[in-house]
Amino acid sequence: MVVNCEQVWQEISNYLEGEVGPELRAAMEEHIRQCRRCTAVLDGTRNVVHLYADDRLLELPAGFSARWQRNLAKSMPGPRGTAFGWLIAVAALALVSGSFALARFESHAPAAMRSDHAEPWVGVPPEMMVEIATDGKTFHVPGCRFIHEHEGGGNVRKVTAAEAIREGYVPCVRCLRKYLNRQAASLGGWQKPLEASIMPPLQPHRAAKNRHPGRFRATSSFSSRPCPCRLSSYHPASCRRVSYRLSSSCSS
Amino acid sequence: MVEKPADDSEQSLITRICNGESSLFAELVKPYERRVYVTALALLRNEADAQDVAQEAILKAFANLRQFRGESRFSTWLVQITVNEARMRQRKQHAELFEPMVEAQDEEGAYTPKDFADWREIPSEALERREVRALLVKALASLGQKYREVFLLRDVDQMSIEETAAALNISIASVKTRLLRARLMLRDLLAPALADGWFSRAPFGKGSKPW
Repeated sequence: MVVNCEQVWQEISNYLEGEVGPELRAAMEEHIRQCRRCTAVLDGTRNVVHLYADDRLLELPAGFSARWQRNLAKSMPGPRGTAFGWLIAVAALALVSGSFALARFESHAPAAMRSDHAEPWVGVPPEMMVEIATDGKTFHVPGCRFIHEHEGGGNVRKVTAAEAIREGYVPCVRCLRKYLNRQAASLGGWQKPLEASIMPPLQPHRAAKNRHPGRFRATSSFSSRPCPCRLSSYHPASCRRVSYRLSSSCSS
Repeated sequence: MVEKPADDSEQSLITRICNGESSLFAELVKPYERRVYVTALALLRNEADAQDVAQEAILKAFANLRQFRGESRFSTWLVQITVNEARMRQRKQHAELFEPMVEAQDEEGAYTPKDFADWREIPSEALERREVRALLVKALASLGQKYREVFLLRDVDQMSIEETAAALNISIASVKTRLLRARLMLRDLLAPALADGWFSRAPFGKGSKPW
């Protein structure tokens, strides 16, 4: 049996697999021995098979094995897994209900004292009569011209400052600032400390200490809780900023 | 199609898993994880996609293990699932648009290997070199899909001709034809780069680029 180059190429793969009959095999080997080109083809093809069979060629990416095993563990319902799941569910429930309870408790606790910027009405006497417009956001000293200009004069009504604050109004920066300054000035200028006749007996807040650390003087009537009226914080007699605070009605 | 049935220890493992011992599934798949990944990589030519598809295939095999009848080997069945998953992903990505044009060649037509100098030996440390590995992977990726998948299952994953045919759902004859073509094409792609003087001169010197 004699084979030519084309026949050798056609069978070269089967030859490497060992799937050719003995007669054809002998004929191919005979041909390859004499043919340089077919030798090169056989060697090259054999090299290809060997090279690609090597495990080093395509390595598993790092963490591949761990990842599918983790995903698999997640997807399978085992007895141990179920118990663990219940444990997590119960813990989560406890956590959620606990945080709700805590939130309720917290909302009844007295609010922490905030800065003047967060409570723009600090210093406004709560019983003072002010004007508000139903569709406005600010309350005004009666007769303030800005209320009519911007906030629809038709719906203006008079309420106490405390009520206006409770409804979410904030003081008008124009008229109320002026009013409060005038009040303070009539009491001897806002740079001077107010006298006890206007302020209730001084009961400094803890917050007051924080705000004016340098000027705070400890008194025997130190209160550790913020004032529940939330309209004022009481300051030591030397505090410069005390003149803003006219909340004489607060009883605490 | 002649195929060896699943061997006994594997079959008993599968029975136990079906009876509730799910944790044994990892043990069953572990020997074939590389094969699953390589199969996915062969079809998708993208490491990230291959990882995803391999993961999905393993999970799918677990979910459908009861449908495994033991008519073929478990590994063949697993690779079949991987091939299906990968083909589904390819369809979604319209991967056929990015396939090499060699698909157009006639599969039955005789292929004439190019006439190169001898490529007699390969030092086994060649694969230690990253460039060589990259070259091999690149050459493989440049094959058309039908050659690539057959070559990968048979020569990289070391599955038998019959298993390859079963996993790809094609005849044994076409496995053989495609395998021959793939091997010859790869030889033609690699011989110029690896044969004459990969180690004797600069591999990417002028005129020695194989692509």
